[in-house]
This record gives sequence, structure tokens and C-alpha cells, in this order.
Amino acid sequence: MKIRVRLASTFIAFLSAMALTASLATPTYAAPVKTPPHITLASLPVASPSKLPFSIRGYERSLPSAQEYAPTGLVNINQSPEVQKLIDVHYFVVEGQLIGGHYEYPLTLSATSSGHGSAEGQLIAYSDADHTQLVAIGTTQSSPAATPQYICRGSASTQLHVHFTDRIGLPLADVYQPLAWNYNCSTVTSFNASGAYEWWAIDGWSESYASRTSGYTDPSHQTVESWTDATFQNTLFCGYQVTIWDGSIAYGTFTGSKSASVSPYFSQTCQPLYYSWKWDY
Amino acid sequence: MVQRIFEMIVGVCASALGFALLLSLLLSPSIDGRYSYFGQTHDLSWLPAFLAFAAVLAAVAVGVLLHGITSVSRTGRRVRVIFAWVGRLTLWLSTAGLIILVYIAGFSIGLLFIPSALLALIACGLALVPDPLRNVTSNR
Repeated sequence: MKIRVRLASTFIAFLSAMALTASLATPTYAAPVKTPPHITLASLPVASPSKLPFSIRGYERSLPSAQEYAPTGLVNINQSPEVQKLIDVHYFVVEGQLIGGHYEYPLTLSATSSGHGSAEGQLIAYSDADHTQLVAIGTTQSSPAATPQYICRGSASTQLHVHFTDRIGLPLADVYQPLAWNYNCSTVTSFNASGAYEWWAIDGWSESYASRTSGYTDPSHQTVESWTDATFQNTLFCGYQVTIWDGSIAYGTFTGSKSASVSPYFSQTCQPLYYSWKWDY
Repeated sequence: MVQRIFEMIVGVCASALGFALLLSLLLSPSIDGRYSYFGQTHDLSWLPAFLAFAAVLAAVAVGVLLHGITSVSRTGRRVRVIFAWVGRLTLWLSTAGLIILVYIAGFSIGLLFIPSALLALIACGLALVPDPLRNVTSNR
């Protein structure tokens, strides 16, 4: 009898410990703001005072620090160790645009033909309640100062890479957007766009039949673009369909200038997802 | 005694299965026959998750062995009781940790570790069964 009582009390203690640890790991939607234990918005570095060597369009406002991002509702904060590695970091709040029943968060980056470097963006935090994202954008290597000049003939290349991860930074899917082109004073003379995408099928991700990638110039050959429309789905983990979509585009022009448009999207999930991108220009 | 041996086998299998999976994700090529799952990121962003999985899997093995050793060791009763409880707690906490990791990495590699987590849970259940030493003590 004594043993049975001890056994039962031990088992109850074990179940309580399991329930406690599980409740700590599960997002509590009643709480207004979720602050994970090791990375908080306050622990991120303040924005760099220096100007980024490329222009950005599409954001709602820029912030001096990540801490200023105070949306309503639950905030999912990226816990990936990569978050704190950006140089010259700047913070931007991107407002969701309702397109086809879901919210997209597009950003466009532009560099002049003489500007070269590498830019990186990371989804730091987001709120599904007010449909905003906090994106950190910075550089990973120094780039020479861009001096405006008009080069009439030459070749240029750029690459955009969008990378989707789970909440601990493990990879889920990638989209690559390389673009190389030749140009003269008035047109794009030739180009090579060989976009690619990949996903990890090991935990139930699959490619949607609609995924495709292509490149083309406009009819007057003023611009060239490499684009991908890739959709990946997972119905295994949450018990309902979770969708990742990427519609990123890399652009080039007849003057050699480059730009990139990123608008990664994922549907509501039972576990937060994140993305980052790298643009070589 | 048989229960303890069975518990040790199940717990060690949970750990070994998990480690085999981790090594496979680290070493076996998955993309274009070149990159492994962890190797394709070209940086060490995967390392904290890898170490977390490795730590809980190792702790499952340590816990179950520590608990199992108590039934065959010839040391004093007090030492055996301490070892048994340290082993149990290590096993239970590491199993809880493994279940949490399965959940938070559910979109990437988490679900692959469900067999390991189930085996570890069985070992946890077996660790609840009192050992012969305690039976004898209670009967007195």
C-alpha cells in the first residue's frame, strides 16, 4: 500500500513537472506580449547612425531601436543566433498588405550601378494581431561608397537569397534568385536568370504544384528580372495546412543599376516561423 | 532486475536512435549529393539546436544508466538511493527536454525524434516501478 501511494505521488509529481515545462514552451495567447528568455527586443543593439549604402522602399517607419516596436497582441521574437550578427543594423516596421486573403510584407531595395556590396535582412519580430513585422536590415561586409555615374556598356550581376527557418533557426526552405546581364546605353542586350528553390521534405514540407521560376525583359529591353513564385506546404505538424510563400524578384536595368523585391509570407501557424534574406548587389 | 535491464535497454536505444539521427542529419548528403541538412547553411546557426538535442539525448542515456546501475551495484544503501533518484530525475528532466525540443523544432527536424521521445517516455515509466531493494525495505 505504502509503495502504491509513493508510486502514485511520484507519478503525479512527474506529470506536474512535464505539464509545467510544456506550458513554459507553449505560447500563451492570453498574455499580451511574449518575451522569450534569452533574446528580447531590448537586448538587441540600437540602430546604427550611418546611412545604408542602398535605398529601401515599402516600410511604414524606421525605428532607432528594436525596443520601440510595440504592436498590439502577441509578439513572436526571433530566437536565432543570427539575429545579432548584422553590421550597420537599421530597424524597419513593415505593414502588411492584404492581398488575396492574406497579408504580405513587401520591401524593395535599390542600388546604383556603381554600388557593390552585400545586404542582409532578418525578420526580428512580428504580430499577427496588427499585421506588422519588425525587420532588421544591415550589411555583412563593407561596400565602397557609391558615386553616381553612368556607365554605358558593361555587365552586372546580383543575387537574392531568401531563407525560411523555424523558431530556433533551423532551415525549412530557400529561394535563390541569381541574375546576370549585359547592357549598353539604351537596352539590356542579354541576360541569364536561373532562379532555384529548395525545401526540406524530412518533416512534412512539400512543394505546391504552382511553384515556378523564370526571367524576362520588358518589351523595350529597359529592365530585366529574375523572379520566383514558390509555395511550400506542411500539413503534418500543426494538424492543418501551413503555407510558406516567396515571390522575390531581382531586377537589373540598362544602366547596370540593381534592385530587389522581397515579400516572403507564411500563414498562421502553431509555432512561429521566420525568414531572412541576403542580397548581393 | 529484469525491469531495470529492460529500462536501460529502452533508454539507451532512445539515446542511440536520436544520436544516429543527429549524425545522419550532420553527415549524410541530402541536397545534390553534397550537403547534409546541417551542413547546407554554411554557418553555425544550427549549432545551438544540434547541441541542445545532443545534450538531452546524452542525458537520457546517463539518467537511465545511473538509475539502472543501482540495481546491480554493491555499494551502500544510501548511495544506491541517491544514485537512483539522481538517475530518475535526470531521465525525467531530459525526456521532458526532448519532448519540448520535438515541439519547438516541429517544423524542421523535431518530428524525426518522436520515436526517441517515445522510447525515453517508456524508460521514464519503467523508472517509476520500485526496485527490489525498496520492496524488501518496505516489507520489513
